[in-house]
Amino acid sequence: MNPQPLNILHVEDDADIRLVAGMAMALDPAMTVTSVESGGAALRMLTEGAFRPDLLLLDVMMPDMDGMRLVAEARRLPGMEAVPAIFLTARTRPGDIALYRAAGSLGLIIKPFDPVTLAQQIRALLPDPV
Amino acid sequence: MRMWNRYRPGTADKTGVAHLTTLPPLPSRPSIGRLLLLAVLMLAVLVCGARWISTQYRTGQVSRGLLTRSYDRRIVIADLMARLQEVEAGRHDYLANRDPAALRSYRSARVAIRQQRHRLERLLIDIPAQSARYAALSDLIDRRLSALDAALPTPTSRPVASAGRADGLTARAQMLAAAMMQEEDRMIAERSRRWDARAARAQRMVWLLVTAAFILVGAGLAVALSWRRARYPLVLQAQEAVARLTGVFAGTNDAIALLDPDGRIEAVNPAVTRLLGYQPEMLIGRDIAMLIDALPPVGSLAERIGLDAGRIVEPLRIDRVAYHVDGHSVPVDVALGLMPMPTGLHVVAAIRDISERKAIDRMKDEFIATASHELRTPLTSVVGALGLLRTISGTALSEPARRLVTVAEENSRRMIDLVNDLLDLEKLDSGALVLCSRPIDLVPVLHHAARGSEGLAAGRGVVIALESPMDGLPVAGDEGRLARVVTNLLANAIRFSPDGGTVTLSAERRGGRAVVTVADRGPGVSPAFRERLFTRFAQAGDARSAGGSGLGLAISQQIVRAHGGTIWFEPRQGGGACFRFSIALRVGGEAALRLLVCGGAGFVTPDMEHALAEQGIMVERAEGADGAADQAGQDAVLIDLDDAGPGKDALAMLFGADRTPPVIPVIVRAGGQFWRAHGVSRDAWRVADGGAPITDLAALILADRRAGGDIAS
Repeated sequence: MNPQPLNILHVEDDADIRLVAGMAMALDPAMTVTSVESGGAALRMLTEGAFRPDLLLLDVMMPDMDGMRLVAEARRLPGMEAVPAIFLTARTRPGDIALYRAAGSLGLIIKPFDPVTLAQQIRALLPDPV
Repeated sequence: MRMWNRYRPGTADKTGVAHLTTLPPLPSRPSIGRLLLLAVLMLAVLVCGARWISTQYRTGQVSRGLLTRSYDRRIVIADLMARLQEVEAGRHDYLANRDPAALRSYRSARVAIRQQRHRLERLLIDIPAQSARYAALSDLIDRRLSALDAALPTPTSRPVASAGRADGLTARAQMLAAAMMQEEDRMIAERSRRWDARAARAQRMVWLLVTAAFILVGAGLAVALSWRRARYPLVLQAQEAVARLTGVFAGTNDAIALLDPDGRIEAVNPAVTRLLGYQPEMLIGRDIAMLIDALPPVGSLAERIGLDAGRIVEPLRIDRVAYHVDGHSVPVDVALGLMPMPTGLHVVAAIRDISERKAIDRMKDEFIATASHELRTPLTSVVGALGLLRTISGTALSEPARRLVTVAEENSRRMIDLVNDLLDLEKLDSGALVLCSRPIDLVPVLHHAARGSEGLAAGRGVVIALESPMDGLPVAGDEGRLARVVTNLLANAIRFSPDGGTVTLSAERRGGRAVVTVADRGPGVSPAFRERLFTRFAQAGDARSAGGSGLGLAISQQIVRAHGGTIWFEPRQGGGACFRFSIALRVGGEAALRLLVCGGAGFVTPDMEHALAEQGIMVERAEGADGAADQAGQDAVLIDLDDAGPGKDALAMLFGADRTPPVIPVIVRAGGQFWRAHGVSRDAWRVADGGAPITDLAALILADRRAGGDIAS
C-alpha cells in the first residue's frame, strides 16, 4: 500500500537544517515539502497564496514569531482550523514540552534528528486515517 | 580564656571541631552539702562546749553551796560554844552577885543556844560523820545545861551548889566542837581546792572554744574568698563569651532568630530587620511560623524541628520561604541549631537570603538551555547532512571517503551525546530532572539496554552475556533512566574489553535490594583512579581514545542516587573491572497506587517520591492545576494551590459536578496548610495534620483506599 500523500509546510530559520530536513523528508516519495525561513513568510504564504498544507512542521525559536504563535495564527485562517502541527526543536525542558502540548501540537521531534528516519517519525505521530 | 582557645578558627584541630559541633553537658548545680556539714560540725562543737561549761557551772554552784554551808556550820558551832560560855559566865555572876541582870544574860544565852542548835541540826542533815559528833556534843550540852539549870534558884527553891562538878562536861563539849570545826575546815579546804581545779578546767575549755570558733570562722572566710577568686575569671570568661557571641549575632549577615522551648521568638539580630523589615519588638514573643515556613506551627518544638535521639534530622532546610513585613515572600535557606539550657531546649534558626542564588540558578538554567539549543542547531545540520550523504550517496562514494563520512558522523554523535549529558547532569544537579518513577521489573530493562548496546559491542567484536534471575526484579523506578545507567556501564565495559572479549551483565537479589553487575575482562581500574571514578570528566588514560564523554559514570551515579540506591566499583577476580549498582526491591506484589502530584519541583522532592515508591505509590506529575484536571485514573491527587499557578480555576473542574464517580481523595496545600478533601464538595475539606510531611498524608490516605476504608472518616 502506498503511503498517504502528505503536503508539509516546514518552517525553519536555519537554512542548512531546512535543506537537510527537506532532503530527509524527500526520502518518503509521498511527502511534498514546502520550506520557508520564518513565521511571517509562512503566514504570508498561507494567506496570500491560499496554500493549505496537511501538516505544519515547525521550529520553535524563530526571530519574528515563535512556533506556538504561528500555530495559533495559522489556525485562525479559513480551512486551517484543525491543521495538525509537529514541532522540530532542540528545546526539550519539561516546561517546554508542556507548552508544546498546550499549543495543540501532535508531538515533538527532537533536534538533532536522524535524517534517515525523519519521515517515519513524522508519520508515527500522525493520527490513523479515518 | 583557655576555653576560648578551642573556639578560635586557627585552632580547628579535631578537638576544636568536636567542640564546635557537640555541646558540653549542662553543669550541675553546685552542692552545699559539704559546707552544710562543716557548719553543723562547728555548731555541734560549740553546743557541746557550751553544755560542758554549763555543767561545770552547775556543779560549781552546788560546790559553792556546800562550801557556804561548811562556813555556816563553823560559825554556828563557834557561836554555840560562845553562848555556852555566856551561860556559864551568867550563872557564875548570878551565883556570885545575885545580880538579876546576870540571870537575864544567862537566859538570853540559853535561848540563843536553842536557836543555834536548831540551825546546826538543819545544816548537818547530809553530813553523817558531823551529825554523830553533834549528837555527842548535843548530849554533853544538854547535860551541862541541866546541871547549870539545877544550880540556879527557882522561885520556889534554893540553888544547888554542886553545879561546879559539871565543868568537865564543858571542856569535853569544847573539845568536840573544836573537832567539828576542824572537820569543817578540812572540808572547806578540800572543796576550795576542787573549786579552783574546776574553774581552771572551765577556763581552758572557754579558751579552746574561742580558738576553735576563730579557726572555723577564719576557714569559712578563706573558703568564701577562694570561691570569689575562682569565680572571677569565670565571670570574665562568661562576659567575654557573651561579648563575642553578641558580636557574631549582631554582625552576621544571616538573619538569626533565637527560639524559646515553645517555638516563640526570644531574640532576633539586626539582619532580620534588614532582610524581612520587622523591628525586633514586632517579633519577640511571636511564633517563628510568622517569619518562616521551615517549622510547621503544629506540635511541640521537638516535633517541629524534627528531633530524633537528640539530633535534628534535617538541620539545613533549603528552598524555604520567609515572610517580609510588607507581605512578599523571600526565598531562604534555614539552618537550625540546638541550644540546651537549664530552662529547656532553645533553638537557633539562621535564615539566609537565597534570592541572588535563585536568580543565578535561573540564569544558569537559561544559559544551559540556550547554549545546548545553540549547539544542537549546527549539529543537526552536520549529523543530518552526514547521515543523508551516507544513505543517499553511499554507493557513489569511494571507500576512503565513506570511512571519512563515518568518522565525521560518529564524532558528531559523540558531540551530541556530550551536549545531552551536560544538560542531563545540570538537570540532575538542579533537581529539575523528574524521574518517571513507577513499579517496573528490572529484568526487561536489562534486556533492552543489552540490545541497545549490541551495535557498539559488535563493532568491537565484544559479546554481551546476560545472566538474570527468571522471576524478575520488581523495583520502583524510571525505566528510561535506569536503562541509561546500564547502557553507560555496558558502553564503558565494551570500550575497555579486549577484542573478542565478553562483557557480563547480571542481576540478583541481595537482601531487600536488586543488584546489577556489569563486568569485563579489560585492564581494570588503577587504584589511583578509583577515587575519581564517579567525578565529572574523569577519564582513565586511554579512555578518551576509547570514545567516552567522561560524564557517563557521574550521570549514572546521580540517577542511581535519585532512586535511593548506590553505585560502586570492584576489581574483578581474575582481572578486569566490575561495576555494580543496587536499588531497593519493591515491597509487596500488589498493583501500585497512582498519586497525581500538581505543584512545583520542591513540593514533592525526589526523596519523597522515592519514599512513596517504596510504599508502592507511584507519583505522576501534572503541569499546573489545569494539567491535573486533564488527567484521570489516579488513586489520589496532591495539589499545591500555593504554587499551582494560573490554573486554580481548574480545581472547580476537578471537584465540579461534571466529575463523575469514582471520586478520589484530594490533598491540598493552601495558605501553607494541608487540607484533605474527599468528595466533590469543597465544604467537605478539612484540615489534616499540618505538621506531617505531605507524603505521609498521601501514604495514609492511599493506605485507607487500598484497605477499602472510608477515606472521609
